[in-house]
Amino acid sequence: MRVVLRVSNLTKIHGKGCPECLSITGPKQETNICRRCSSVVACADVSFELYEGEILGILGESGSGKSTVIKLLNFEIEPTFGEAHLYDVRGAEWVNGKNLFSLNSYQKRMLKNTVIGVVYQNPLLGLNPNVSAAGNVADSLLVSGWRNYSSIKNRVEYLLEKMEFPNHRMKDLPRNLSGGMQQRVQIAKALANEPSILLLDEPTTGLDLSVQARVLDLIRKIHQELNLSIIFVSHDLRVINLLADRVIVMKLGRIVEMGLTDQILNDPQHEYTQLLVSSQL
Amino acid sequence: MRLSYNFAFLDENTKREIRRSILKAISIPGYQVPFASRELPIAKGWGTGGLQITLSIIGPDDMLKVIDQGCDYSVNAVNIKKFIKAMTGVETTTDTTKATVIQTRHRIPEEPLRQDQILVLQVPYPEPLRLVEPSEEETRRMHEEKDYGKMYLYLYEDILRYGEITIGARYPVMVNKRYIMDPTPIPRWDVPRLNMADNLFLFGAGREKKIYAVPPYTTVEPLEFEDFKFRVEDFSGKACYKCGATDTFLDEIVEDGTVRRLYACSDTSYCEKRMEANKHAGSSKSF
Amino acid sequence: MLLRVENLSKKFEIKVGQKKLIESINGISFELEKGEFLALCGPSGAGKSSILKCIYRTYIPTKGHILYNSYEYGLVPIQKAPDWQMIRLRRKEIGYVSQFFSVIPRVSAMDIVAEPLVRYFGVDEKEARERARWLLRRLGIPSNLLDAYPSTFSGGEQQRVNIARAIIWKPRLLLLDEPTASLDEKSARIVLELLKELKEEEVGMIGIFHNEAHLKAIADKVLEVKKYE
Repeated sequence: MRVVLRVSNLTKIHGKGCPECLSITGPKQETNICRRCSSVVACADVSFELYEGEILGILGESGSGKSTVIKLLNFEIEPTFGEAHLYDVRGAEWVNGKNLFSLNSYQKRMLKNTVIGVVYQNPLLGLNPNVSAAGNVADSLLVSGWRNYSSIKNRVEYLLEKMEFPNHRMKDLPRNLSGGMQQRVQIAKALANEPSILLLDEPTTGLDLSVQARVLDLIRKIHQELNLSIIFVSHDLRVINLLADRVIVMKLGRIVEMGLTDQILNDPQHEYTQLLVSSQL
Repeated sequence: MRLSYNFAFLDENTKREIRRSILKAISIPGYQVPFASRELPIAKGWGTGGLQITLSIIGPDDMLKVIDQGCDYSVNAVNIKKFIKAMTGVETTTDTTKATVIQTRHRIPEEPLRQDQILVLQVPYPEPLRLVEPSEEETRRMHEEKDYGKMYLYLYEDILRYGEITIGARYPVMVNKRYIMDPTPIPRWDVPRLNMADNLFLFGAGREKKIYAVPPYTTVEPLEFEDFKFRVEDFSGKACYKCGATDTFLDEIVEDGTVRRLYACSDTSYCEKRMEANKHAGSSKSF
Repeated sequence: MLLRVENLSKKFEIKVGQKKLIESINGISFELEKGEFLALCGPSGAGKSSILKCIYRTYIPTKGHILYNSYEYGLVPIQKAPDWQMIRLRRKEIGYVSQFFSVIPRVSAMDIVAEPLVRYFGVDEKEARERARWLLRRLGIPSNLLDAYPSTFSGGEQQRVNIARAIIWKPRLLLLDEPTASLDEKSARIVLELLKELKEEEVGMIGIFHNEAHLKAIADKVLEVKKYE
């Protein structure tokens, strides 16, 4: 099993930061706000590897920094420090050996579009609200240079069909779609350019249970069919248990434990993990 | 009637700065160069950008033509022409082939221009991306990073909804394969004229304070899809009722008192030339 | 030598609420050869399941060594093997039949059983489903249930799906936690038959049986597990 993504020391501090920030924040100190300079340490020292074809779960509650990690990997925000490297990922061989955060905006945009796909909890973060469902999916293709309308249309229809999105609603704006349908559009859009890595930030939270189930099934299906390497963020242990082989547990911006999913659930070592597990199951 | 005005109204330093901006614009085709737009005896929004360019480049030996929507006789064109003549003493003409500097609003003359001629266009809104992005900061970033996906998305949505690209005037073009530019509200008919032309095109937006340019022999390609290509207006079956032309851009005129629809060449000077030629040839319907 | 366990101990350190230390197993040692069936027996609560879970790495051993002779990696010290290696071993070499059926919702019994072949052994989907069908039928699952979701099955039917899913890909080492507990005698016999066939194919197995007769029918050796003192 080979590593496709390696993240080292990923750290994001909101605010001016000071030399004490890291040492006086974290799970032991029960805070992620630096009491000297009032900066928020959203995440710190986050290091992990993503293996080809696996689903890596990130488990944490609000303020754990799990969404920050996704935003950093998707280049929505810039890290304070830390590095990320891709290894022999299809379509991104040009980036081997380079720190992803040192790329220029054009290069990041290319990666974002063709190699890394993202699905947010709030569909309106990942979708353009002024553009139809089909347009949203087409967007990814247009950005990577597709210029034949029929080809675009075919691919869009193919993707939406795979996502079990009804064809007759393709022209609808996102605000006229239900939550579950919005997520399907987001996933279709993320998959448009056949990325190898998928970042999912609580994609089913807030959806009705039956809809959640269908979307999770969909994720499982595409994971198997396309052999995607997926990072799946959630606060819900059952979902992580269903999908992820390995889990990273985060609290107040730090990783507190990392291991096989069944081990984390059955034999949690860290105090916080034990608390999480006992409160959920 | 020269009072104590400098030649061409603007002071020499202003002209020098505007020329600098023009040179910069020429060296980066399609790129909007900001400039400090001056106060003129004409209100902003009435052609001050084009006017400042003309005033900066015109010399005593130049021959000036000013048109508005193709017509030499519209009130605005006449006013601008009178002002420039008063400030410089240059000769003026309505003949496109004789002018060396042509200032125009919303149309390119029918007769192709030569290397020694300059066309100055008046620009109401220089930013082609405003259609899809309201923030100036964001559109500047999009130009900088050649991040034009949203623009193509707009065209895509048009085709999805209406079966075709519905943009009429201000059709976005890709200049020198690098910048998307707004060619001003010229009709689609005129857009192909920008591509690989012999002459220089200068664009001035006085209110928005931007200057841009298309040098000669520069590629200017309207945005399109491989299977939904850019099309000009269709005038098949129609002809100018005055000169009989079937290959010019026609304005539609509704005759007073009747409901008859007539078509006339938008380029009035060209039309007049053809009417003269017809008179000599003896028929007004020979084309 | 397929597996060697030396001085294995497991304690649970509860850090939440009433902090305490729960001792599960202590000083367990044994060896397993290919094609051997080792039965674990002892009173309830003695920690038999915990031994299996330590080998499968669901539990992290507190002390001791678990040395597994891997086809792919040679000798692997499981107690400190990296996660990715455990994932790989679980997919390709070490199988586990747990006492409880982990419900994968909305996947049919046949697909659940076929999945490991398709995903990790490159078997064509159609063929994998055929093999799954054959195995499930052999285990006595009625045809009309093959395409049904196991969440609606009886305990015994679920257990058989569990077993099928683990043995269809012939692991090198198979861990079985009460595989016949919910089965009627007829089904239990079939399972034991299948296990015997696996033994002949050199699969090493460690199993827990409550039913002594079942144990006697298949085990080559027995390990008495006493409650932790």
